[in-house]
Amino acid sequence: MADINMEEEIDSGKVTILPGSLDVQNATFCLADEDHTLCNALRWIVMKNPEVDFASYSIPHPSEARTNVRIQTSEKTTAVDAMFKGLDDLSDLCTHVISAFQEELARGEFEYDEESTF
Amino acid sequence: MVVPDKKFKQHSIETLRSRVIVERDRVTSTASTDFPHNYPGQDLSWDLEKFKENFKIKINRLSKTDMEFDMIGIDAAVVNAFRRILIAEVPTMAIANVYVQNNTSIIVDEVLAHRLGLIPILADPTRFEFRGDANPTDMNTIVFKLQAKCTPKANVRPGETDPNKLYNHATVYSGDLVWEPKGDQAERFKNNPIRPVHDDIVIAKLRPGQELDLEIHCEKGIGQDHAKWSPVATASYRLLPEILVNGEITGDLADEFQACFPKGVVDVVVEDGVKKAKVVNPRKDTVSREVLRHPAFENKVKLQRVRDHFIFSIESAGQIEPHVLLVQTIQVLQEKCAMVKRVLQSNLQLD
Repeated sequence: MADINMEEEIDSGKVTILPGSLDVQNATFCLADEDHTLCNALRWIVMKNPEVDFASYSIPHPSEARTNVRIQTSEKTTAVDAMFKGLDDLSDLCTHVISAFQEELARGEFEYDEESTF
Repeated sequence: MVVPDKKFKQHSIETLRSRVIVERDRVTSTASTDFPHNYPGQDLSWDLEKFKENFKIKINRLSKTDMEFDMIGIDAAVVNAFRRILIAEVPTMAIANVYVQNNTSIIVDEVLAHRLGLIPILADPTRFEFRGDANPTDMNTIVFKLQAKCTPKANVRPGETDPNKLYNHATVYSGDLVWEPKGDQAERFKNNPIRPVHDDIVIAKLRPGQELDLEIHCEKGIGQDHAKWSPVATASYRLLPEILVNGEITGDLADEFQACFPKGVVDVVVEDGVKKAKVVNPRKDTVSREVLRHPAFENKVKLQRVRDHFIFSIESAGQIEPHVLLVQTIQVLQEKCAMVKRVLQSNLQLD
C-alpha cells in the first residue's frame, strides 16, 4: 500500500518562517506548494488549541504556490509548538477517521452493488 | 387564525453553534464557531478522546465506482480537505506521452493524444513512482501499443452500409490498446494485467487505407497537474437538512406543505379525521426553500442544516474503488502533515 518513493530528501524551502515575524509567541509560517486543502484544516485544528489567541492563513498571490499561516499564542506555549501540536492533532484525527471507516466497512451493513453503476 | 409565535423565529445560542440557518433570501450562521473561549461554560478545545466518542461514520451505498457515506462530528475544514485531495491529489496512472509512428486518420496527432490521455488506465499507482525528469523505467512508465489499419472485409453482404461491417478497424476502441510489459512488469502484474478500465471508449474512426501506429507511455500523476489523473468523476458533500415545524400543519395546508418538498420528505397522515403533515425524511430534501415562499407557512417552518453532519459522495472514474480512494485520500493529508513537521523540525535545528 505504501508509496515506494517514501525516502525523499528534505526540501528546506517547503516551510520557512517569515523574517521578522518570529518572536516566541508569534510566527508566520510560509508553506510552499500548499493551498486551502492543508491550510484551512490546519488553521481549524490550531484554533482548537485554547492557548492559541489567533490562527489564520492567507494565499498572498494566486499565481504563487505558497500560503502564509499566522499563529499567535498566549504565554503558556509558543507559536512553533502550537504548529507542531496542530499537525499532530490533525494526523491523529486522520488516523481515527481511517480506523472508524475500516470498522464500518468490515461491519458491512450497507447496500453493496458488485457491478458498477455506469 | 394562527397567532404567530414570535419566539419561533429566534435562534438559541446552541442553534447558532451547531446549525446553518437557511432563510428565504439568505443563508446565515455559516461559519464554524466551536472554538475554545467562544461559548461560556463550553470547553471546545481539541480532545482526541472526545472526538472519538462523537465521531460517527456510516456507509449508505457502495459499488465498484460509487460510494455514499455519512460523516458526523467533524468540521467542514477537514471534510473539504478530503474532498479537495480526492479530486486533485490522489495519484493515478494516465497516458502522458504518445509517440506517433504513423497517423493517417482524420484526427490530428495532438487531438488524438489528448483523447488517449483521458482514458482511465487500470493500474495500481501505489506500485509506481513519479517519473519527474528521470528516464522512463519499468518502475515509472507503462507502455501500450496501438496499431490499427483499416481494410475492407471480405464477403460483405451487398448493399451493406454499416462501416463496422464493411471494414476492419472502422472504429478504434480503447480495448485495442495492447499493453507491452517492460522489465518485470509482466511478473509484478500477472494477477491484474494493466489495461484500460473500459474497453468500449471510441478513440478514432478509420476508413480503408488509414492507419494508426502509436507507442503510448503512461505515467503516475495527480489531478492538480491535469484532470486526466483525477481518480474521481467527482467527489462532493452536503450538510444534512433539517425541517422544523412550529405547531401542526393540518387540512388542505398539509397537502400544500407536502408539495413544497421532494417526494418522501413529508407525509400527510389522517389522525382523528384530520389531515396532518409530518416531516419523515428531511435527508431527501434538496433545500429548495420553496416552503419559505408561501405566506401561509410564515413563522410555521424553519429550514436548517446540521453543521457537523456530512453526506459525502465519491464517484470513482474506475481506476481505484471508492472505499480504497477514501483511505488513500486521508493518508495523503497525513503525509502532508508529516512533511511540514519534518521540514520545520529540520529547519529549526539548522538555525
